[in-house]
Amino acid sequence: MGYTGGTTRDPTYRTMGDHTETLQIDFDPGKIAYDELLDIFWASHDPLRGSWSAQYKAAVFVHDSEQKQAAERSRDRTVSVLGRPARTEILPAERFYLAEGYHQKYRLQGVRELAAEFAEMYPRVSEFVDSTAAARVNGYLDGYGSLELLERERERLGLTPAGVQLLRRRVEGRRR
Amino acid sequence: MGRLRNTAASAVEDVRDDTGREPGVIGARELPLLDLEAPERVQTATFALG
Repeated sequence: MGYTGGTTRDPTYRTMGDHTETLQIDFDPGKIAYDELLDIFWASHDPLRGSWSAQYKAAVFVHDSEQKQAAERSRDRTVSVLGRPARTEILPAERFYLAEGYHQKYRLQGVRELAAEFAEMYPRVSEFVDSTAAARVNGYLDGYGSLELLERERERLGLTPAGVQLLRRRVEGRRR
Repeated sequence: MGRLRNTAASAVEDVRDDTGREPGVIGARELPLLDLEAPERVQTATFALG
């Protein structure tokens, strides 16, 4: 999580200025394509709703011409389905300012025991933010993934057996 | 772009260089193996959901 798109230097949550709250993902295109991320993006917000403020603007920040073309194609597909122009913007990616630590991996930080295990693995917030394992555990806690997937990759998450069991219970619990 | 490559993977390289320990082990800490996958392929995407 972070802030981008504005001109304010070194923004924070309380001094965001004209920046937008933004999610930045480092991904392996061998695992998931940019087009798939775009599909998830368009399905995860209302493209017809206008921006109330710079802070809560809906936008794709593209990092190169390929991403720009892919974003425009996906927007056009969405518009053809909706039958109305999308108000979501496609903008060039600019400097990205990382948000404060308490905004990162929010669901994971809400589970004290698991947060403590990751804090031990990654004493520095920047390491925690960049951790694939932390991102995946955060996703499980937010309702994504499956128990089957967790069982396949649990030994690679870096958690203790107690941590795995706690996560397993959370994933099982949401089935009920 | 690709901040992942600057953390787990480079840290492992540091360990190899400094101590000769096995990849994935940094001091007393053991990094999640998921963090060691193909960092050279990482690309970056940025979205704001409104």
